[in-house]
Amino acid sequence: MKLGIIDYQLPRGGVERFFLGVLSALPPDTEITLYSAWDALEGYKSLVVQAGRPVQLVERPVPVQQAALVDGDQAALAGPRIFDLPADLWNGIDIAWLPWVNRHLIPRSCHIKSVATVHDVIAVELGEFMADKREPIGRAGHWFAMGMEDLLVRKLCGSLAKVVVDARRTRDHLARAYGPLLREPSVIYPSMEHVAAVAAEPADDLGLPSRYLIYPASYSSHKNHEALLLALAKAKASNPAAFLPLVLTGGNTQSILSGADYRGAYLKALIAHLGLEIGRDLFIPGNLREGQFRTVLEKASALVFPSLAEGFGFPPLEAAYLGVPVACSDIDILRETLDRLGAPALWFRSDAVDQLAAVLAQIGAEESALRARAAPFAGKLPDGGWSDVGRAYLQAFQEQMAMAAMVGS
Amino acid sequence: MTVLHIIDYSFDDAQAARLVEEVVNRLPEPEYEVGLVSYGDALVRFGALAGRLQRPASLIETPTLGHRFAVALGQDAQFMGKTTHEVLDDTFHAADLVWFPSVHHHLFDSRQMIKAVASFHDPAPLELAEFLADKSGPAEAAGAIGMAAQADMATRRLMGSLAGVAAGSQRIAEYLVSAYAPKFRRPKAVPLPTPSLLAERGLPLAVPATPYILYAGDIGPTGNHESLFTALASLKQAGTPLVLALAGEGTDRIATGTPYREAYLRGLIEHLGLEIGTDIRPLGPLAPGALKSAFAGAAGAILPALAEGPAMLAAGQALELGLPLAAADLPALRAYFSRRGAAPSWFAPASAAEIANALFDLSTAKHEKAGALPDSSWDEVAAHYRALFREQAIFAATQTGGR
Repeated sequence: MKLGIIDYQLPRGGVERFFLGVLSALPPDTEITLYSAWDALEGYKSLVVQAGRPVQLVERPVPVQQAALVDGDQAALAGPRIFDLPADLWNGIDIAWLPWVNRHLIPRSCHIKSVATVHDVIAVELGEFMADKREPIGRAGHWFAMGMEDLLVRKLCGSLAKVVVDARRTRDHLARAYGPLLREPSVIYPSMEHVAAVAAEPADDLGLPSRYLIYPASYSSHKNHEALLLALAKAKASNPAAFLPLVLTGGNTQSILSGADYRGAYLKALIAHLGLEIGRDLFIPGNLREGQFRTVLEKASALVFPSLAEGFGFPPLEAAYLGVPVACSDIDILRETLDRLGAPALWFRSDAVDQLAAVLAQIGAEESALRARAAPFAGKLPDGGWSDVGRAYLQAFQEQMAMAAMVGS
Repeated sequence: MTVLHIIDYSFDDAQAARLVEEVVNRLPEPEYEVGLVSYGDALVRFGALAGRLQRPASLIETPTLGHRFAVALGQDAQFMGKTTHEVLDDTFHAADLVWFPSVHHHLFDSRQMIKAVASFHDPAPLELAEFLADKSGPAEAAGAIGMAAQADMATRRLMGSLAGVAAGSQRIAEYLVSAYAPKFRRPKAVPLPTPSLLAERGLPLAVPATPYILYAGDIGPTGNHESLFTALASLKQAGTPLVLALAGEGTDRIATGTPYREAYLRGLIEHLGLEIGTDIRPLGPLAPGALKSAFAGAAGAILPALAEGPAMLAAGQALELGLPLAAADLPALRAYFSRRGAAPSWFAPASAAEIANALFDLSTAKHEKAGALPDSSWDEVAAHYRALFREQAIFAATQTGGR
């Protein structure tokens, strides 16, 4: 099988793990060519080394579309880039896989030869909320992302492409928002197998306290840092004896320290306004190496995950695997991710600061009991590992190739 | 007293400008206080309109944020499509009700939609987005998809809101219902009258000496000039050459061959063995009086367009002048002409053979007597809008407690 992987986006984090996991599980005789350009290609160069199998990298720049905010003769580019894929990328391959399809415009004639993974449509579902949370340039970018992703996913869902999603919740949302669908998207759950493979690295130099809560997430507005900070301040004021400081890790969180951009400055001001002190109530080590992150996560009293929307939700599962208590916002996707594998969690409403504050206090007061409750799941991998995921993708590729052959004939 | 603010940051659509003028002139003064909200060149155009109005309307200068699409091909980036205006929240604060006489290219917060009446005239960028992109150069194609995405998102939000929506025709209203399944209220069809040329004074115009068929429509992809030229070429090859005159935006640029669409059409003309100046006579965009003169010298008018728009209105004007007309058999055009009690001869817009037959028939057809066709009146249009304004003002007051 000649598999063409097309991706010009390469979002960091969960999608990298997903990419490596699927690649590692494909049969050795799969000929893989990866088309990309710019910073995404650079990222893929290092990922392919980690994949440990031959992948031909092809640098192929394509037209890019982006929003701009204009004021007289001044203009500033805003928001994500949309990649307009030429049809000849599909020449010479049996099937194309777009591992993160959202921001790629696929020529109509190429849908039949494509398997496209939609991890989430958060930019559409929460587009207006996210735009509201931004300054004018960021807002223009969010409007753009909302409109473009909506159109691209709508086109995809109305096509003969094979759509794969990470969860039933995403499948059901696509069916509701873009249906009636010609074919139901296939649900292929990612694995958490990679967690076991990460070796712990020392993290003493980060200067973290002995007991803490952790929230690993980018500072994007759908991650709902506001509610967590409000609850933290409330928990500190109402029950100082049970108070646990909070550690924020993840992309962009260091901007909260520096206040260097709009969202960072906003959260920094909120922290100050709430009377929380960085270095005492709050620690922001930023983006950590995988081994460091494992250590920091493993030592946490609990992982708190107040996110408003996710495509899957790796961190709560990772924490559960390490025997760390988990507290999650009660949204369908996190329920699905955790309940499916039987991982225990405390649940709270993402918009109920009082509930969240009570949960934070409960963790501070009942850490031992919560750890005991989390222990049975620790070290267990109840999913089938990445080989199962790879097999499921292989099946999707083969099904789509058969369909393309049928339509072509 | 209802404070009605009319918001348009483009205000470059003559039909929308006429709509504002006719509706505002019919709003009772004690009942409505009218403000015209815009910025920059559009505000200047609003100012000119305010000078023509028969009732007071204040000009309100409020800035907006302009969103554009940038398309990068290699090192170079260029803006494509029109500016989309993000109307800021405080623009709504001083009004009980706002009206977007041409809501296209305006984005605003969904919390303000309860206060809004929005006029929706042109679904082509949505319905025909992929076709428009296919017919464009790489940058324009990206722009067409980008504009469609923005328009799709804005329309979806609008149709899912409590805003009052007025569609330019029953066909457009039905399209909005089928594509966006409104959650709350269906759009109301308010067809606008076609400006008549009957009372216009003909202006001098150099037209072909031999009888010709006239197509008055811009050269955009929905104009379907391709099929028309192919049909014309087949007649020439069959030994029955006809002269085709083209009026409308861009027609005078076909001979220059730039930019993309003009180059494409010129290449097609040459490929088909047609000659500009002999077989095809581009007249360029024409003022109403000049268009009347162009119709006066024509043997017939043809309308191969694939969507509603100015070409359809020009064809309606041709019919009023007594010209025989052949038109593309599309629901949008059928709806327009049947509403006006007219029955042009129909052809399949993708069939060059049918168009060739229609052209030949037009060249030998007899003119009808000129006379006005039934149409909606501005009084009716204004009454529909007043009803929409009243209804929306009640919604807004009950939901927000007024300003």
